[in-house]
Amino acid sequence: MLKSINLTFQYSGAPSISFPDFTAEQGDQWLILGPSGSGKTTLLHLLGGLLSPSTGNITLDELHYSDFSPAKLDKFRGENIGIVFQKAHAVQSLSVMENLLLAQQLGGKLLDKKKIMDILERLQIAHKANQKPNRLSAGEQQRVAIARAVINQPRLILADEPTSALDDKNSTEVQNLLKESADAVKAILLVVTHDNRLKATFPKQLLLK
Amino acid sequence: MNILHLSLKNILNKPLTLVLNLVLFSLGVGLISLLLLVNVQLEDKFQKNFAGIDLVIGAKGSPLQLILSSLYHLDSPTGNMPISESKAFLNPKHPIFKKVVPLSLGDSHRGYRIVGTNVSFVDLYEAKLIEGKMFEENMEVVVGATVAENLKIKTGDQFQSSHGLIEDENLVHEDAKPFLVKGILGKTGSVIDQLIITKTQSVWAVHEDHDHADETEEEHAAHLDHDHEYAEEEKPLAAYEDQSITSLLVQFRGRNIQALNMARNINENTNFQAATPAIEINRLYTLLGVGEEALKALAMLIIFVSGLSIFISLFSSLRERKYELAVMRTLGARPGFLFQLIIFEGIVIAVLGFLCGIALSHGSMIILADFLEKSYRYDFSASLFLMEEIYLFGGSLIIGIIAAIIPAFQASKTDIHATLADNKG
Repeated sequence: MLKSINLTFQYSGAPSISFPDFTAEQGDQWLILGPSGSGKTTLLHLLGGLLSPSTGNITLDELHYSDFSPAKLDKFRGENIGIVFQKAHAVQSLSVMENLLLAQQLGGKLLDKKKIMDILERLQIAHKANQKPNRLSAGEQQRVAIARAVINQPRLILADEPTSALDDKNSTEVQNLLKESADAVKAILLVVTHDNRLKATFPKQLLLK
Repeated sequence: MNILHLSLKNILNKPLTLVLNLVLFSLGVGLISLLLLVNVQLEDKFQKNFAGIDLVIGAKGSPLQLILSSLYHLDSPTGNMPISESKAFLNPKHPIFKKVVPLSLGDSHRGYRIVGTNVSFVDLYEAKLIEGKMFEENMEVVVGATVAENLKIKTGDQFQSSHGLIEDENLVHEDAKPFLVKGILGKTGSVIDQLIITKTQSVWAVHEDHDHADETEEEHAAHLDHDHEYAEEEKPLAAYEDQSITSLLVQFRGRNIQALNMARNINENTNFQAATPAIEINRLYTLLGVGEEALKALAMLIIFVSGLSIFISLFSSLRERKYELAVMRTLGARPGFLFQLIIFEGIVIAVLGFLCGIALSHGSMIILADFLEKSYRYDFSASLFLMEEIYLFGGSLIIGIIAAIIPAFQASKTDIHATLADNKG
């Protein structure tokens, strides 16, 4: 379960942004909408532990982020949170397979090539396992990003504009794969977007102002 | 998938940058290592060839030239010493000189110098026969190990010497009697390996036959008779008043005041000059040292530039890689992981550069050895590895780390939020 209470954040020299309190049960899939500048990405980074809030509390499975030291938080994030960005930003010098092995290692998990192949299979990019990321299309790269986010069976998957760089066909596919993958590991899925193509498929939506 | 592996992958992902860095680094390391290799072996050669000689006496001229020609067999001799004027030095009961070895130089065989002397010359370099016997009669020679090896000479072979010290077919003493190889010396690592050694009288014999080719038959015959006479009853060298030699190698009985004043006495009171090997060789080192220092400075400059190039390429790669570094942080990588990653990249380039540099210096030594052997009369080795090369390795590591430390620090400070939030649209 993910909970955020009284969350605010202030960039230096800018007014403080406050976020609505929010609770997501395990397996929930939420869409977070809002115009540019409404703090969607900031919220996502707060929930992902990439940024510390000015005030308020975030707990994942009853664990308070604020209780963690920076080192603990990095470890906690690697083990329990998977993040998909607008672009994959895979390590360019490594193949798709090696990128996923690196994710397993950084998440403190056992290296398991079979598991990686299963996930790539499900995402229909198994045949690209030994390619370098820059040889892949945008849609394929996004699938690698999804694979990387779910490989360690996280409790929480965060996605920041995962489809906005994709065409309609790829957008639908990536959206479906993201939901299926989150379902498969029973993770909470939070998608931040201003992409209207996603609105129809997410019954739970949070609107930021 | 450890950090080192990832560092290596990152470096190999930019092959052109890697090549540039490696070329610069290996040039610097290679130049230093080559200087060390040549230097150590040259010094070793100069040391070995001192052969316990305290003084070299010869015709007036450059003292350095006298030392080089008589002790190292590099330069041309300074001139001749008539025996009539140098009899005093040849006295076996000389109060100051323990050992005096006469040298007659100026002839060669296929580029290898022939030294007219006596058996004590062979003893100076502690050379031992590995085949055949020592020379006894006129026109008998023993050859040094390298000469035998390179010219494929065996005991019993005959050859005709040439006038002068370079290989030139037109200068062969064709009408002179041939030399007969009586024995072959074992390897000593000193200059004697590169020499052909015979009696002083043999060198005279070649030149008498040759120089007086237009003599009348009787005169010629008289000379030949003369030779026979010498061979039968061995006269001391001092008895050949009408002959000349090139120089004398001298060992003192003791290092006392008279011995030390001897050189000055000879220089001031005779028509000859006396040169002290240690002094002249030090002078040579000083002369060579300037060039060596300049080359060293150049090598240091190249290494500095290569360090700078590693720094710049790592630093600029950070800009390209800032997103993937930030994403690695979101996957659980600690700042220390990114720091180590970049440091290892610097170290890997330095180690590869060092290895290429060592391969370069030892590789070029193989090519240079032949040339150096001809010009320095010394076998150079390419497979010699020096202690200094380990220090060079340590130095390379330090340069790799220094070049990487600022980029590594920068990488470890990657602000995940700012980097990834900034990449919108």
